Amino acid sequence: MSEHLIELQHISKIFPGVRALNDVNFTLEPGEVHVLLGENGAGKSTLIKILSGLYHADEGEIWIRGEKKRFTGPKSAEDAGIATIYQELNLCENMNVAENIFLGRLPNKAGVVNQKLCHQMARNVLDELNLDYDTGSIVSEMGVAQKQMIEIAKSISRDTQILILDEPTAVLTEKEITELFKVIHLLKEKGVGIIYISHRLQELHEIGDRITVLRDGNYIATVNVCETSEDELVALMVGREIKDKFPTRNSKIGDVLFRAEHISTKDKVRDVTLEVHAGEIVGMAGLVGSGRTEFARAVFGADPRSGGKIYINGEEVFIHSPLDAIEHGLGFVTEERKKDGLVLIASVCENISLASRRQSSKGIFADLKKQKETALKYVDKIRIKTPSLKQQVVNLSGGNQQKVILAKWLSANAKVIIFDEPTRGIDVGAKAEVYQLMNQLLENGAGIIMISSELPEIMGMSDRILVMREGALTGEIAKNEFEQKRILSVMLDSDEN
Amino acid sequence: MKKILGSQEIKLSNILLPVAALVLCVIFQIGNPNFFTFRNWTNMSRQQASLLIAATGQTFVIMTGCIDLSQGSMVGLISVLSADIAIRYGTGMAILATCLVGAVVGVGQGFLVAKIKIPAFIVGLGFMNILRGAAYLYCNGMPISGIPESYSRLGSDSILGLPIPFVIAFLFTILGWAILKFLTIGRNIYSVGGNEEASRLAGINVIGVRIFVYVVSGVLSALAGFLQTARVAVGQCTLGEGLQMQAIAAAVIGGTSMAGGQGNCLKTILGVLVMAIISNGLNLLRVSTYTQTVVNGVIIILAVAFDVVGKKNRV
Repeated sequence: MSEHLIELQHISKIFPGVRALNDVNFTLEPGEVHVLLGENGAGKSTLIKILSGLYHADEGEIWIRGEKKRFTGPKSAEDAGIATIYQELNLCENMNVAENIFLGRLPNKAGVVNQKLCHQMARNVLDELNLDYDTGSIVSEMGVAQKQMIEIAKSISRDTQILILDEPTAVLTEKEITELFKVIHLLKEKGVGIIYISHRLQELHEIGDRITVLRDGNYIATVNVCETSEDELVALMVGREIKDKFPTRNSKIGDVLFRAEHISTKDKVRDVTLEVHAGEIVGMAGLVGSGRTEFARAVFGADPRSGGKIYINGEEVFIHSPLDAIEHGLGFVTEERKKDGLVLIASVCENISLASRRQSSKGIFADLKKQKETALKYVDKIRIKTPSLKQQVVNLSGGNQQKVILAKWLSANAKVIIFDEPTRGIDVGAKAEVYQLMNQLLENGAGIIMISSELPEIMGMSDRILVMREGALTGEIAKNEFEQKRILSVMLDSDEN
Repeated sequence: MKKILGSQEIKLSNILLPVAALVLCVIFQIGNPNFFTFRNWTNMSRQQASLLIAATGQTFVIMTGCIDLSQGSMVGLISVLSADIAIRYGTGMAILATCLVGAVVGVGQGFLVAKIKIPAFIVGLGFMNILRGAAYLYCNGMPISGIPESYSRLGSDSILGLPIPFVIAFLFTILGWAILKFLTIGRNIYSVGGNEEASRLAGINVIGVRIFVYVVSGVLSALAGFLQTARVAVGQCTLGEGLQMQAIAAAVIGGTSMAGGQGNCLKTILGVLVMAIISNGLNLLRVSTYTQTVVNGVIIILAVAFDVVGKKNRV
């Protein structure tokens, strides 16, 4: 048997009631980028957790460089030369670059840190990766991309030969992605094997060598990147061809439903005015930090406004808290559903009823029966996959969590819904479902504001696109003028428009 | 997966608690044959009624991820205050004043925690000193004796063979359970404890919820003070020393999560039972109160350690 960097044989992981991984085989060669692809819930993260020592495989064997291993914890995976870089980075924000790279291993003499040596060693590691960061910079002042590089530098400094990258590009700009890929190529040349997880099919051709597709915990196929196509990959992932990525809708655009006038906040939003008609999706494009989320929060009463008026059906309404917003028929699907969208430890039912507790109360008593009925109705209607209403939402897949949030706003009778990155971190199949649900909402006369950083999504779904830059609206693009280049140029304010 | 582990854990604690209580009982019975007597158990329930009612209040606060450290001092203040008022204006007025003071202090603490956003720990420490100090000031450090019989009989009498303080505490605990389970505010307490920001964005009045749990804890610890005073039949500013720690331990032993969002008053009863058995058993074995104080400290750390470690394993 030839020596692979990693060889996984017949790995299975069983959680009571679920077979998260079923007889999965996987190999990784030195200097290879091996992409793990699959919808959410396909088993990618379980596999990674097994490789990084967080979970035990119930069946199967792990071979590292021809040696059979049994990881007893994260430490033993690390000792085997495996490093995992998750989306949530693990850095001490208040410390500098050098200290972070050598965290826990600061060069010292009898407990006194040798700062000079530390910086010198950090310099060497950064040079290896062609990074010109100052080793004395405080990490909290650096961008996400740079922080990610520091994580990579940290793992390289530990002689890592196997690097697992969990959706590294999800939070990066195009330019930063290019930088990341340069580093990845450098690592490949050094013989580091990389397991790469991404939802972005487009970038795989640029960075991947082989792709292994998982679906529902099963191993589906391993293909060479140069011999495959996006369509084939999608088909492998979902087990069916997705024809309508952006389903057509039959909603008619009606009267103005919602109008925000001269909305400003203390520092992030400047004089934004927009209208949403019934049956319409208004897309909001812009770079990260352009003030779109801040605008949404201000309109929803989640953050204070310094100025501006809001009209619903032509009548001015006063929204000073999320409660006011909800009472006037607004809903807000936030960007980070785990942080501020869901009560993770609570049940599906509790989460669906979260925004409509007032409506489903009899006096001071909660109408638990009605809440259950409503929850059940939406679980059926929008096909939330859950074993029961009592299931804690933390156990649902990303797509189903998003549907729970949607159900929450539907049961609160939201008529104008703000979607902030509605399909972030959810898989292809679930995306299409979310789009369909948005269409249904429109057909029922709702209006939608959609903030999205994915150009195909915002172009595929919006009726018109507003572009925000530095807190202000800088352009409006009508549907017949949608074109990636044009939107980008408004976002970036190049002179082309 | 987390769900499964979680429910296993809940089942484990469901079994573990009664088993632990039983094992303790057997040990104490061997140590002192008087342990399993009706008289001992009615005594125990009379003595620990104030712990039960305080632990119920504490459960509410812990559910939102905070703790109320002022409970013990509240008992001291209520003891002298209600004794004095009962002597001057009657027991009815004393009860009224008890509830009122509890509610006002609760509003104050809740406001500082929820609106001004001072850490609950600091607010609790502050009120611990303020209330205890106020108790000493009120009576000049002297016990207040001569409380009316209508007051002291609430501590010494029984209904259907059950001590009145225990019956009252038990009823309030059931009431607490019902509030959490059936009232909208109760469901909101679970949500705010689980995820404050998500709750706020769903239109839940987070500040109101936080003030409410402190009012519950304030009123219930004031009632704990009232019941304890009725039992000892004298107003004492030193009463209730360390009660909050026992109450926190009982709530956590009963499965209330220190991180918030999970808890159940009925299980808190089990937690109180364990605490009561330990304290009563140690008394019967003639273990000194000094040693018992040490034991209490160890218990609270162990209880929270189990909670924290359990959480870690679940991820």
